[in-house]
Amino acid sequence: MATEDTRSERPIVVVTGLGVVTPLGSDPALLWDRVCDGTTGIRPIESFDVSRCRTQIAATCNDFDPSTYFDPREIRRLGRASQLAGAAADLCLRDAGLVRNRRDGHEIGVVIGTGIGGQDCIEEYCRSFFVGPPGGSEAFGITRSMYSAPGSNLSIRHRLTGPHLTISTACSSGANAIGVAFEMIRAGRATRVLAGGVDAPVTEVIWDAWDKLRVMSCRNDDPAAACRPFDRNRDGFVLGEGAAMLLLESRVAAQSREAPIYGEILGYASNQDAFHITAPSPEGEAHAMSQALQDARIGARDVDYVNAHATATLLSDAVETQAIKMALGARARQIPVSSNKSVLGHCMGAAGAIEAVISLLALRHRVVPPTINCTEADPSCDLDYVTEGPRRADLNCIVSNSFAFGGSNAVLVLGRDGVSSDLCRERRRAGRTARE
Amino acid sequence: MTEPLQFDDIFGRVVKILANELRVAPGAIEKETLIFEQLGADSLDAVSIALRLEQEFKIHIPDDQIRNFRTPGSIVQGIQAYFSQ
Repeated sequence: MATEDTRSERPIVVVTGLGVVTPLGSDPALLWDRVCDGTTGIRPIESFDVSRCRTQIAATCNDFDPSTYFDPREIRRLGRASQLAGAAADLCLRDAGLVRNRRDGHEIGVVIGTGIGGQDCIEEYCRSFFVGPPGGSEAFGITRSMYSAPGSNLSIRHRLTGPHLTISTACSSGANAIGVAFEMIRAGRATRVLAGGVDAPVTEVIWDAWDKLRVMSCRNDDPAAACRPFDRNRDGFVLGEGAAMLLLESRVAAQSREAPIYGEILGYASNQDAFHITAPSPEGEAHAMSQALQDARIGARDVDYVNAHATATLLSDAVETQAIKMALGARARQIPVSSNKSVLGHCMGAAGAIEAVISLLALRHRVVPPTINCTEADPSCDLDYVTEGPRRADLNCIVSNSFAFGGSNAVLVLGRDGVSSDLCRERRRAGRTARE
Repeated sequence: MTEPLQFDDIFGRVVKILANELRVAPGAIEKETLIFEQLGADSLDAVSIALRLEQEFKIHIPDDQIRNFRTPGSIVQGIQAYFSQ
């Protein structure tokens, strides 16, 4: 199999490891089953008092036990985002067959996307500063709360000595992190990069700030039905927490160690629509999708599924539907589109990375995961949203959208293992036929 | 005039702080236990320990004294020296 995209001799980038900590569990296979079953990860908040909040439900990682991964001293030094990211990194490197080794570091890069980094720790610090006894503040306030804490801590833990970046573009952070890692490898600046996203925003003060924005679902009595992407009766997104990590390698590097391959990263685009701090722009989103297809050197006809950003707010689902139609033209109505957030909530900076993992598993299983709760589609949402349950499909190329407050759009194009070579052969054959 | 703090009283409180800060059993901490080498503390732990000692004993620990946190015994002596000034 080719190791380079011969159309430009760019290295082919593949994914060889997956690690997740999500509201639906910490095992990609379990996550996949639950997403396909329509099991919800959304539940009432029990960790603090939300009785005076409009929204009282969230997608939290209740099964996550930090002591499975960290000793008591490590737990004390790590905020929740660092714990979630560290655990996902452990699982990812193990899955990739790169066993944790404290003595001999791997020359692996790290690119982590996060919307709020360790800001949950600043909240804790403020509580002791303003409310606690004098002198009761702690010495770990900075090291636990800095945005780069998740990436730095997991790099130190695994002695990953390649380039390290932390990317913060709100809800598109995770997708941008994977995209930047992909570009690093394609440009030859790294051979292997651990990339993903994390956020832990379900804390008392951050929750209150989201609640005041009136963008979250108020369907508190029925958490499983709360997140309704594309549905006429949707009333907002559900905030979630989690982490997902992917090990990206050049195909050459993966083959040199005979690593099993989940799929390929074919293209990536990031743009800023410079439109509004919260309102999405159909032109900006469509442009990002078109640029990503161009980067992947494929056309709308090659796209087999769109893993939508689709948060279930009134505006965003309608605008994304419009953007998909603008970017894919007539093809938009022929392909399935679904939203994983219907069961996982919106895990902010982790969302794009979790959805990339689910998209890779969709390619492997040749199944499109469903959108749950879309029982009566909004007239402004008129695409095929896979509402009947998981659907078998011949999947070669998937577009995964991530859009963010502030107008930062990121789109990844993912492909099944070997698709670059197949596309290349197909184009060559088509070229020959045209000449004949 | 307040009664001077006794070594054993200070030691008990120091052990409690060290055990909590370094997440080790109090029984594992003796007067001559090496805080860095045996209990695995690093420079960041030392700063945190200094903060807790200042809070517990209502004292001020100058930066250059933090590197003298060799053993629990040496911390107790430092605290006694502070109060005897």
